[in-house]
Amino acid sequence: MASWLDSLKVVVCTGTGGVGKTTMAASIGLKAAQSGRKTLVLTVDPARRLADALGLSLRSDGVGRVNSDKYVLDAAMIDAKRIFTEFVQQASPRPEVADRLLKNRLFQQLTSTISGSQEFTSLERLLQAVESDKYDLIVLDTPPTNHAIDFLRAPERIFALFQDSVTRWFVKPSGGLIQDFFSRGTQTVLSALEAVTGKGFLTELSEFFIAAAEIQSTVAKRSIAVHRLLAQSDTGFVLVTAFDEAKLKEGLEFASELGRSGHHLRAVIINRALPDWLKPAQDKALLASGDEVLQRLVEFHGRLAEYYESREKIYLSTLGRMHEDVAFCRVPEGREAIEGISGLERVIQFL
Amino acid sequence: MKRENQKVILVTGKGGVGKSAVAASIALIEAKQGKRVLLAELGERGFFRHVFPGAGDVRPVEVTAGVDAVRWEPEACLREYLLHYLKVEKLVDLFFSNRVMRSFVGAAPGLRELALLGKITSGPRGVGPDLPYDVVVVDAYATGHFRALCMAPVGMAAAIRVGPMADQSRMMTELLKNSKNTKMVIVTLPEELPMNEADELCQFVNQELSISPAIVINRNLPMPLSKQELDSVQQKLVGRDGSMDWLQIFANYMSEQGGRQEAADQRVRGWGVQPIHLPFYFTADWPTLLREMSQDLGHKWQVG
Repeated sequence: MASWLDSLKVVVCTGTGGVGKTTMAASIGLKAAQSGRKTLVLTVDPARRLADALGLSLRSDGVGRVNSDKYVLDAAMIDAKRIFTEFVQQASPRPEVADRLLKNRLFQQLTSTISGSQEFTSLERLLQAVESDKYDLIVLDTPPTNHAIDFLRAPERIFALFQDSVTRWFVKPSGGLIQDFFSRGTQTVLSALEAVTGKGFLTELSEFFIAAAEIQSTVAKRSIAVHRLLAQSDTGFVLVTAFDEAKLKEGLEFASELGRSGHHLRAVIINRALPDWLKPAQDKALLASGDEVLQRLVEFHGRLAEYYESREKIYLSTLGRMHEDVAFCRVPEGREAIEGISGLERVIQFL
Repeated sequence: MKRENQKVILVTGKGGVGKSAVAASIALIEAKQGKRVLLAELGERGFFRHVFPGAGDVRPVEVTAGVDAVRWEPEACLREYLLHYLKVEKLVDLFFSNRVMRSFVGAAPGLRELALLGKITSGPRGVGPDLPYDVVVVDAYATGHFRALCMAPVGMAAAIRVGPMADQSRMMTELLKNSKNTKMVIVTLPEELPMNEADELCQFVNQELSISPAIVINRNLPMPLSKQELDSVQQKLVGRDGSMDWLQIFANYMSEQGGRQEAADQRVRGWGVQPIHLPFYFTADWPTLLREMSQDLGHKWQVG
């Protein structure tokens, strides 16, 4: 049977934290690999969930291969700091430029905090993997964000930092910083900034921009390539969402925003839906069996089943409003945590 | 109310553990005790708009008696901070309409987090506009991002050693460490991954900020049967005919779940903390959930 996955070359797994995104990314990867496609799963997950799920020990940024003679499934951790450093080194025209940037304290903060750098590096890593041409499918597990759309917004902020129009403010053609080059407006703003932050900040800031200017053309090129890749019709976004009404509403918003920005949402995976062992009780006779303890258990089962059912109803009615091109997958909550390939195989049947 | 006595309660935990519900419940509890409460959420898109009609605005809106809700955005906070220093609105406008500054503010490392933390701690620090509340409850970021939030002033103070921003950053860290003003709540579930994250986070705030956080273990299934009863039921069900399978599975599940809940409790005690347990609520309706949760938490909150 044709699946939503078959036509895709890149899958971007999005969703807010705690919804089981990494596990779903691993499952999608396994499913594709088992259908005969060479597959790579990329994750930034520091909790090593992917490695655990696939039974691999991954060195940081190393690629590991799942032990199987039936299919090719590779997995890699994305080491944000390392990718950023390598990116700067490759983009710099001279080693001194890279050095200057890497030693800049603001740059160091940029690569060690979460504001956008993880998103930037995971997209860069994705692009590298696509360009390597070694895989039929690449699945990207995105960094946890407050909101799924943040994944697309954050790198834009980093790209903006390196934009020509920005760096030009700080740099004259010969490469030095010139205060007189600034418009009066910028000068006023800069001196105000200096008053608020202190002098050191401004020095670091201008040093940062002067160095940034030198790698700016590479950043621009990569950024265009990333945008193009993400908007391609064989790049599909997958939204992983949990069994929670508010999360689902966020998912719907995400879907419409993706559409507006020219990206393609291909599937919504509802994780931890009604557990299969919690199907409504078939045997009401037990309630009248006279065993008081057993009755209490049956009653409790009924209560829990009712709760899950009511949520499922809310879910289905909300989902009715989504676009028909989007595949829906329900992954029921299992009794045990999903571990190893066998755990993922349980998930695959629902995708 | 004296500004320096304002209490700041930061609620964090792994994504999906019920941070927002716990934060809102704490706000309701404090309001019930007669306090004036601000329930703050962070970022460009709030969550409470799905829960309280009218919530999600960048200005405080009363959502229930004694509780105002607000959504703090990094950029707006930075703007407010600059205005506080520069005093001239025009200059701040100029700053934000400047393309260079705008993209810098957008991507500058840690600046967004710093602006938010600056706002969060602005009451007791006595900086910026008046925040007329006895208690500020913050539905803060999830684990990783929360660390970045806490560490933003440390990083900034290291990058720029002198000047007002470095001083402010050091004050923020001081305030976070001051248990008179700041309380931290880590929400977790009786499951392995949320527990691991809570463990790491607890160690992190212990070491970096010398804080001992309150730990809330959320969604504990109330056990309808005692351990012994479950054991005997499981024994009884063995050997029954096929139609009984579902109950057998359920009995096993309940027994495993009981084990997980007990293990979570023990683990938190191992960190030297008395955990606060919250039950699983059989409702998808937020008003009902908050009413019940704030009632249950209310009894335990004073102790913790």
